[in-house]
Amino acid sequence: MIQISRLTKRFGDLTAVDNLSISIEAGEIFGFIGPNGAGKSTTMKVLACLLKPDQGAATVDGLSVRTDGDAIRQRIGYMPDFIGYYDDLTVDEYLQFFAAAFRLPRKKRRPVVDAVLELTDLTAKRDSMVASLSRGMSQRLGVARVLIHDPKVLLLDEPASGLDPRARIEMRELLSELARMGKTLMVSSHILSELAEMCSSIGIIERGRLIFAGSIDDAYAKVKGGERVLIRLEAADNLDRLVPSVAARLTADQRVASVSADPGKPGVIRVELEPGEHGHHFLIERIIQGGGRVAAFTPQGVNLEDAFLRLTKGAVQ
Amino acid sequence: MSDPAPTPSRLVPILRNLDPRALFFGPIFQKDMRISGRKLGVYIGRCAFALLLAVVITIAFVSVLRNTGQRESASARIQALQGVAPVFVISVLWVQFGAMTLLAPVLTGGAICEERRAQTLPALLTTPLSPLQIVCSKGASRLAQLLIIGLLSLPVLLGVRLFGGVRAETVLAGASISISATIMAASVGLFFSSRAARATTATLAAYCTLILLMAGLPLLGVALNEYARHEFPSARLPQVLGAWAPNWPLRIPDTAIYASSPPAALGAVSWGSDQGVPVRDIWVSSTIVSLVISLFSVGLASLSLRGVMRRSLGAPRLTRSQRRTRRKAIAAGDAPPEQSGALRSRRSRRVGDLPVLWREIRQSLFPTRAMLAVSILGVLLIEGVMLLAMDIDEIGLAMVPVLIGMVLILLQAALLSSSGFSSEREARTLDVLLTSRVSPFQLVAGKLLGSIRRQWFIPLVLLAHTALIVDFAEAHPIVLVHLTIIMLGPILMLSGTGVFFGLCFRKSITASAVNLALALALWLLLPIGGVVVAELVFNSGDLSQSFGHFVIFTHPVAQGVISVEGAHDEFAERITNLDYDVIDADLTGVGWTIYLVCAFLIQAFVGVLGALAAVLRFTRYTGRTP
Repeated sequence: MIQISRLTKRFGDLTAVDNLSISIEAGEIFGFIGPNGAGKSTTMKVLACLLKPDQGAATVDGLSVRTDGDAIRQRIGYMPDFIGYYDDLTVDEYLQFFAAAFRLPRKKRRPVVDAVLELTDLTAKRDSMVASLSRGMSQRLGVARVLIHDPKVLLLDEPASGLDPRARIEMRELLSELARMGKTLMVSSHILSELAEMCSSIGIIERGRLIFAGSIDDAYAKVKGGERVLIRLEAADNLDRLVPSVAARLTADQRVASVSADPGKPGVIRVELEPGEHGHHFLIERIIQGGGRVAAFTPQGVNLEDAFLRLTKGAVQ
Repeated sequence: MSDPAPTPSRLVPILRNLDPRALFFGPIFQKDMRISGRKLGVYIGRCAFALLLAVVITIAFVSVLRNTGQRESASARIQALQGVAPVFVISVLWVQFGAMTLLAPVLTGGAICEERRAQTLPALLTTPLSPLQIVCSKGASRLAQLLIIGLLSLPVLLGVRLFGGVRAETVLAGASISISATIMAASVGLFFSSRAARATTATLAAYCTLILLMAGLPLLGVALNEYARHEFPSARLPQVLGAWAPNWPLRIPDTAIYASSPPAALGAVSWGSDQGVPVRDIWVSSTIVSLVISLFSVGLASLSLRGVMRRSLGAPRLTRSQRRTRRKAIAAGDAPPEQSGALRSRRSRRVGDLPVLWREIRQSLFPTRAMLAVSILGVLLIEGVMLLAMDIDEIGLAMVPVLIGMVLILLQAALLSSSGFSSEREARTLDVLLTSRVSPFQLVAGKLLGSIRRQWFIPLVLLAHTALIVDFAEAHPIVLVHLTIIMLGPILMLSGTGVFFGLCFRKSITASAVNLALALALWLLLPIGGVVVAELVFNSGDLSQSFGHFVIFTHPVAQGVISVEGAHDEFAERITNLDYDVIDADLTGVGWTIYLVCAFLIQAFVGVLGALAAVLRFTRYTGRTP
């Protein structure tokens, strides 16, 4: 549905998007992840025909963003990271406004507005002024707006930004429902746990370059070797000397990538393992050899945040 | 038992807040100065002013040299040279006064409302800075810019004194009037900026208020004095009220009339005063009046700043008793929850097929009905005084409101039309609109027609006033058609160029300032400069006359004056009998109508050209088909 090939976009000396290639199949929810200023919004704006690419190509439903802007606009719904609203309109008028802007026939507008209000659970707010809506409702209104002309593709830039946990869950359910309806979604977000639960594939972008694209499982597999374990030693009088001794034993093992002691938490050691399949028994053996006793042993599974942090090489630290 | 801690004096923090360094040169002043120092436009503006000054000085110098060269004897030539300095000084003082007072509302109009729009005002108000400090620092940073412009002319003013013939008091008086009027203009701009939602609205409101202050107040003073002297035999008030007509005993001093209007005061300093009023009294009192109005405006802006900010965040407007009750409740630790003052819901309307146009034509010039009511009441009051106390049969008196109205229409057209696109950009709604199927043509047409529709109030007032002239002064009703044509031309033209500039500049206030500069260049600098060059430099009557024709053909105010004058013929029943005096040519009513239609068509063409340029620019900018 969306094909981006060697896309480059520059603003003066700054290369916002550099040789980016992504392919998103129809019906997918594609999570677009990257630190601030990585080029996510620029890529989305190119797909929404708001910016022209300097090099490369991008197509939506087989249509080029360079030449088929009018046809693409009919097929996409774009929700920017900061949604400006006409605060002199009511929710109903706001949606009617965009229904007319998308040239929906007059007879169709009422049922369509009713339907999207229903879908986004805003029917009760129909006559409320847009300016009076809470942040969560405003975001839902933004989603309602992009649905008004029934586009095939939704480009949602930070749709869950600034929402409370309940509103985030509601937004996630709404987007999942849209995916079930057959829409293709490209969603950028900083709340990576949300994307992990919702997306079928992700793309990680840093400084305009794509550093990973594929399924979430592929992302986990790529960083799998870097498993981390949190170990807490039993309290002892000689804990100050014990921790460096245990750390030295652990570091000596080839399967261990790094060991660090948490200065704020006495007796706590973080161990990062080398890539590959390892058991955990050797860690306990090394601790005992170093004279320590294990109070707690917590293997930390890899999540999307880990994958993101490792793949982006700490650029977001 | 220890002594209770001494209660801190409430006076100390107040005095600390009034420390001039904190009041004017605090962090806001420093931030604003740093920002303006980085803007290229600021330096371009200063260069433009220096260029204007150089042109004025050159014209004055050339004209004096020509006059001197024509003298036969050497002593006559030396005597003529002594006239150089006053001409220079007066020219520079007027350029300085015009530039500074015109720029002040543009600079201060956005000072506070743009902070509110960027949602930085609540953050500022949570700092220890007082509202007075915020308003004063904002004003000081803008005044510093204006002061730099004022200082540009200082070397000329000081250097010119070498020629002799200029009293130090003249320079001091001119500078004092200019600076105090600039402070007043800036303060009025700040006051409206603290209340208006948009910078352009604040700037327009400031200009209207300043024009009413500078022209309306002296006019009212003159009218009341004339009435007191029974010099209006046809005034309607005695006729209507008979013996009940008030015998206006109070005579407003001429000094007060001059003092209420800085341009009149500067005129007195430049060319002397009527009725022998001492010039020193005039400039001193004008300075004091301007500074008092400034203090009043800044005080009002500071007092209302927190309330305006709270209301913009949704809090209601409370009456004094409600405020007292709430304060007591807060003191007792039992504050009731604050209710929202913002309009939360209303019955939804049906949106038309052209959504941008639908929304634009529903945007009102007056944010609330109360403001519309106050404006109508104000107009009725002024019109009532004119009708009852003045001799409206006097065409000269009837024409003054027409002149003021025409100037206001030009200002309104220049300022209001430019904010269409830039305000969409400021509200971050343009991106969303651009992903819809609304065509550039629809967008530009919607913005253009919406801005034209918003300008209804002043033209309507002007037409209503003219209708009364037609009735009372037995003028020909064709003047109503003429004025409509005259008003529509600049409205269309400046709205078209305004929409174009709105697309060219990121900030609405910059676009408005450029559109205003175009209007000023066309209708103020060009006529004055042209006449001066033709008369003084080339000393050519023919050239001056040709230029006069050009000015009348393009200038709505000149056309308005000729229209009212020409229609004021109680014996002419047919249009063909009316006589319109256009310099060396006399036109009948029909000829004048055709003349005006031609002028209108050219102005409308420029407006349409501006709108088309906007469509093309928009198409290029977004890569869409028109």
